[in-house]
Amino acid sequence: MEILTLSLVSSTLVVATPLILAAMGGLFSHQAGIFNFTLEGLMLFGSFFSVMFTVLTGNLWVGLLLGALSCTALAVIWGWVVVDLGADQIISALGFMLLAQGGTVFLMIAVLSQTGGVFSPLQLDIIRLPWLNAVPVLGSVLNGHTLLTYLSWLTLPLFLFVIYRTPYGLSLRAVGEKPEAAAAAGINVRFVRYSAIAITGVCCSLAGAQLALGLLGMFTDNMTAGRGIIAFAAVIFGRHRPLQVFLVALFFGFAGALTDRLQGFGLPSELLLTLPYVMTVVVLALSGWRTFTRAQSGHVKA
Amino acid sequence: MSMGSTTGAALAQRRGSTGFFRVWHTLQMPLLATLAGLLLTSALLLVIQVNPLDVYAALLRGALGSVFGISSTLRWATPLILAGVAVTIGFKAGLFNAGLSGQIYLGGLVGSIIGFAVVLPAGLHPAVAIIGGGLAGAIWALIPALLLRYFGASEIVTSLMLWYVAIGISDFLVRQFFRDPTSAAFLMSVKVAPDAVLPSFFPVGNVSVMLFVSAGVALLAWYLMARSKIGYEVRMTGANPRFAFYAGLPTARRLVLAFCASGFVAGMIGAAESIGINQRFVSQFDPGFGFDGFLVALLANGSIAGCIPAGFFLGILKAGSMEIERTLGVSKSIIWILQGSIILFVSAYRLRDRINALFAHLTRR
Repeated sequence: MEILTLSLVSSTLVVATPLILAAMGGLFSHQAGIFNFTLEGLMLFGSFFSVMFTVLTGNLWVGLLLGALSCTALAVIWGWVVVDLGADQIISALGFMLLAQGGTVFLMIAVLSQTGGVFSPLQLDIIRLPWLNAVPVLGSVLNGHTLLTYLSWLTLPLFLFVIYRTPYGLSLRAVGEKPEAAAAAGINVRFVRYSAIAITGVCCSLAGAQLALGLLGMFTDNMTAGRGIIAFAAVIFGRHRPLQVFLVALFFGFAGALTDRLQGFGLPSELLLTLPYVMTVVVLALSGWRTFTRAQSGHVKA
Repeated sequence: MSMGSTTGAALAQRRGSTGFFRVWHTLQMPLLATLAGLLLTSALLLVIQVNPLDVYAALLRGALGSVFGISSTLRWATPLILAGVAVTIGFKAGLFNAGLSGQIYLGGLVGSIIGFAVVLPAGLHPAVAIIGGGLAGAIWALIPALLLRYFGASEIVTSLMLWYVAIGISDFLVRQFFRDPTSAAFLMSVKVAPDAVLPSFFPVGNVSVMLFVSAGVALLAWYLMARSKIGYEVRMTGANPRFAFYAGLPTARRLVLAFCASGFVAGMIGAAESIGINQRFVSQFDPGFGFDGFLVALLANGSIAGCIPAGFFLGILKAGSMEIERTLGVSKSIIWILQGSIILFVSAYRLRDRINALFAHLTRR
């Protein structure tokens, strides 16, 4: 049995999808100077709401849309707490994470009368393009993913364009680098921050939906299991620049796919499952960069 | 972060206020956040057509209304006080030990190994096990501490990631070497020796001498932090690292020391839970003390001794949450929502400022 095969590349893309979506969303907040540690909580809310609304409406796309909307609303509420109420970004994000764990369990019982987990009647379709199959190597790797995987690749050119080539992106970076100067230049700092947090909410919701509706077809308690924190690490290590963050998230996806693959080799699974987390720690350490200085923590400057 | 936890006390000092006002200013944010949390949970309960007052009454009844309830509250307060102390020690040095749960987990593993694999005199055995667990926690905390010290890697992310690694290593070791062969369904180690068990001194429940050890550790840590030279250096490192560095303090070493002290206290929790409550290592034994520790520390608002009352408060919530699930059929996840929203709002200082301004406005009229 070969370890490095084409199917490993393909499963890397699958495992990386939620990480890429969440990390790309997270970098938007960071570009606006918001240390957004809520990715984990947002992903959990996103996976639950997309399943809940799919069950309630019986329509996958409506479920995805309503899931993204409610998740974004919660992201904006967190934004209100840090932007307008001046709460500490990391502390309130930890609270948000706990709120997501409790809230999803509570809603699952209250709305769906289920405990532990809930199956979705529908799943995201695997897309197979016949013309792509004809291409020798790429065909088998790039074909056969869900819509959200392709969307996660699209975020790279899209975000590069928005952040570096549009007036909004300029405001975003200005607010992130020097909010006082941006405000003096007439930029609405609050609007930019709220919108960036909302974009993070949409992306994390889709990341959660990929986990629940794309991979498993169900929601289970605390199913994100630290993926949002890995995505946060990707944002930190990639210094919230789209290309770097994308590549780091892809690498973390590779670590996850490698873990899944090695499990077939009789290695102890408990130790193997720590591999993505160990790799995250090693990558953060190797960066050799003051990834989180004290000046960046704490309150949002007005 | 350190700002949020000290603003109340700082404000009181600036105004030259005495005892009462100082306590009031320290308590304002925790009280406000608790109120916000109660409002949110009450709204959710009303939506599912449950009377919130019934829930809060059942909560108090379950936690304080019977001998069993009180013993349950004390049983939970024991680890929660320590968890709050561990987090606050980090706060004092400007650190965010988000991976408390990993240090707790390894502490539980090493504590129970000492419990069943080592032969020691009866009185000494639990003490050695708990210190051993503490050392395991301290060593596990040393990794993110050194990564922060030499590479500047965010201790929040690294320590959180190492939590998952600690679970993997511990479960692997237990499955491989120490597994209790009689339990097929759950992963747990063999039982600890009888003389390593911490006996309960309550007629019912599981309240051991560890309760006094917890309070004692909190008071000792409070004294060392407030009165000793090293404690002063740690506090200066947290309050203003650059100033402390230029004043000639060994800030990097104090940072590592504080992280390890935090990990030591966390490891004690795991060891005490293993030998005192479960009498063995049980996989996934930690019901989320890491998060709870943050809530205790935030409610104590930067005071190590304050973790004792805050730990009791959270102990009431934990003990009572079982009761509301049992008698009212309301999921205990409502308590997580309450805790989460308290943490969400506890540092939102502008909320307090707005309310204070409103009061000032009203009284001026």
